[in-house]
Amino acid sequence: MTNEKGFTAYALLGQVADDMVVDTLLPEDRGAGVAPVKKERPRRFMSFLESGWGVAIICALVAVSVMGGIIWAGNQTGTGVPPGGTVEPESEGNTIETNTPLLEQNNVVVYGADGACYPKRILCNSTDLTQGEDGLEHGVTADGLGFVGHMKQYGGADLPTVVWAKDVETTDYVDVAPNYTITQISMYDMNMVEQMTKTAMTLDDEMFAARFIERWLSVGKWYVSFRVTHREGNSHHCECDYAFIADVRQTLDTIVTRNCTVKTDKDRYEWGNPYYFTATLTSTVEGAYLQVDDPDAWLLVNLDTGEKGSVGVIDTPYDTLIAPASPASYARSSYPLFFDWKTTPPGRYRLTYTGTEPAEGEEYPYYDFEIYEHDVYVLEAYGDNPGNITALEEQIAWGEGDPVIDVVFSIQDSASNLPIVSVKESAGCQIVGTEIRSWILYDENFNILYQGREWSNPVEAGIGTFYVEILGYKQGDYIPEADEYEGGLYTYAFCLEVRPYCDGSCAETELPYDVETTPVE
Amino acid sequence: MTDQEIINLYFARDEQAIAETDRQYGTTCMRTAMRILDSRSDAEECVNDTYLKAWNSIPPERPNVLVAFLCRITRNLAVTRYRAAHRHKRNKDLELSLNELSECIPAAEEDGTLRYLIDSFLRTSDTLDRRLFLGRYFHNYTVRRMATAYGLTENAVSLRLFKMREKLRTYLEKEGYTV
Repeated sequence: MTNEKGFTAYALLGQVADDMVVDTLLPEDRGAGVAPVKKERPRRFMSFLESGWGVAIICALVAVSVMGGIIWAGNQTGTGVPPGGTVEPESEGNTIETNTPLLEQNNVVVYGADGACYPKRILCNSTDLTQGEDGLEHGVTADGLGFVGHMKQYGGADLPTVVWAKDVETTDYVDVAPNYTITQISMYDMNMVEQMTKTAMTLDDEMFAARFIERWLSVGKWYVSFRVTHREGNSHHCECDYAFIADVRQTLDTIVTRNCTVKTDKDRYEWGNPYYFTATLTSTVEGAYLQVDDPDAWLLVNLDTGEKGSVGVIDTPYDTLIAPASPASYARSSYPLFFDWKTTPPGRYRLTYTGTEPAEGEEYPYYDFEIYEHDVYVLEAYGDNPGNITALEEQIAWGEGDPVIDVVFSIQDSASNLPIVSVKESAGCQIVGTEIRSWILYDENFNILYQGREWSNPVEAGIGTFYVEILGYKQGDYIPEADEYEGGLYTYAFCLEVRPYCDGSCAETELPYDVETTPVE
Repeated sequence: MTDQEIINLYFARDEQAIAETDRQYGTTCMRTAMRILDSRSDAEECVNDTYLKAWNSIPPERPNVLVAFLCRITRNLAVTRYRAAHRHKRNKDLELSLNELSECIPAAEEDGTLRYLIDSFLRTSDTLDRRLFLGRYFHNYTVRRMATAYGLTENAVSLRLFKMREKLRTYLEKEGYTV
């Protein structure tokens, strides 16, 4: 395909000054009489990115609105999928199409969140679609092959999209397939630049599964391949590569008019024994759910306007709530009050318990919360798999080459609506003798913004480029003569880039995200 | 022989200038052409054309840096040849470069301003980033080759290139261009 704009740009770049042209010649092109290039070393924290053990760019997407789905394609050609790259997106004859029922060749298994795509399998005996109880998890397993692909969205105001593959031997999703093991999983961008490869698994104590990959996905196409080894007895039987393309994109068919969430200073209000109640807010992509534990009389008021009818009044638990665009419900723990982002006016609200007259001098108990609009942020982390950071240098691998420390990033709504970065150890991945001593958050000029190890007190990073350094300690072998253990401090580092999603250029109605499948040809 | 001495041969209309140019920078020109054309015969023709164009240009031109002058000619000739033949044989690496460049440099009417801005941007950029950027988009070095040359991983090179493109795009947009 002719790229006229590219040629124009190419020609423009061809006019750069002579000294820069010469300066950028590599040795084999410099000819006689041209001085060699002075080697430029990268900056301190980038140096780890340029060490021999390679770079993986980990992108973390945390958007207030995310819709999940799953796409999964298995490719049992046995010939292997990249490294090397057999997929050339956007090239002739291999156009990536979304919403396309898949596939007509290459034994690819694909699932779509919308159910439009159905599995097609050739070498696998059967395929099971699994779906989580929440309806948000979608996976497919080629039984006997022992893997599940997931796109999952989590609850709460921030709904990251996650892709993972896991060994299904210990899950409830599928039949046990003891002879099959996932031995490697890799993730590539659509230029087939490898973003991450993992050859060891970490234990997910929550899912009781071997989790090879769990990462945030930013909007775009991702190519994920994984290798499955089938063993019978002690003999190696076969090794197959599977792959799928995940297309994380904005969707227009699910309209959210605003990016809203709710916050409150407290989730429990006590007022005079025995009158108390507990209220809990849960924010989701569509709206917020308010749960209260006492099915009695309530009054909901918009504090900004003072209006009652406009926002809904709960006089009794059996009255239909005139709630903002809510399905008729009332505020009970089993029937939470729903605030739809499409129609609920942002502002401060008060839910007052009116079931019992307060004692003299007391007020009715109430629960305040606020619905507000905010921006959506994207957090990208660069490094060798920040989700499971490995050693800064090859020779100081943390735990025999197996990643054992999870570093968790999150963007949460804070008082100023800015993203928050937190680093913490993964509960399921600790081993005896290792610990994170501290972590440091730098700004792009390496000014220290935070230093410590308060995992539960994440740092508000804001927008920009940041560097995170983690200082850890690993206990080594026992030294009988000294009656002590060997050990040493290790450093891990990575770069974070936090920026407003779409740089403000996205229309408000283009959220949330969806996940779709594309064919692998 | 120094560049100046070679240029003096051109000015003296001494055909030895071509031989000296070839001896000194023949490989450079050949490699430059090969990275675009991916065909040895086409590249050889391109290099010969480069010498002819240099012969016709010097004098009156007196290049400050002969190798840069030759690279520029070779590059332009190779791209022209590539454009004429690309329907039959595509250089995917070059296509990728063109696509990436089109994302950060506008196809605007050029009165010298854009060239100046790009020059300024590159000159004020981090040295390593500039070398990677021009290595990729001027000299058409592969990411792998640059990774080896600069002691980086391929991913690190790709990341830096990506960020440079983003910065250049932002820079030009701030200057009023629509990329």
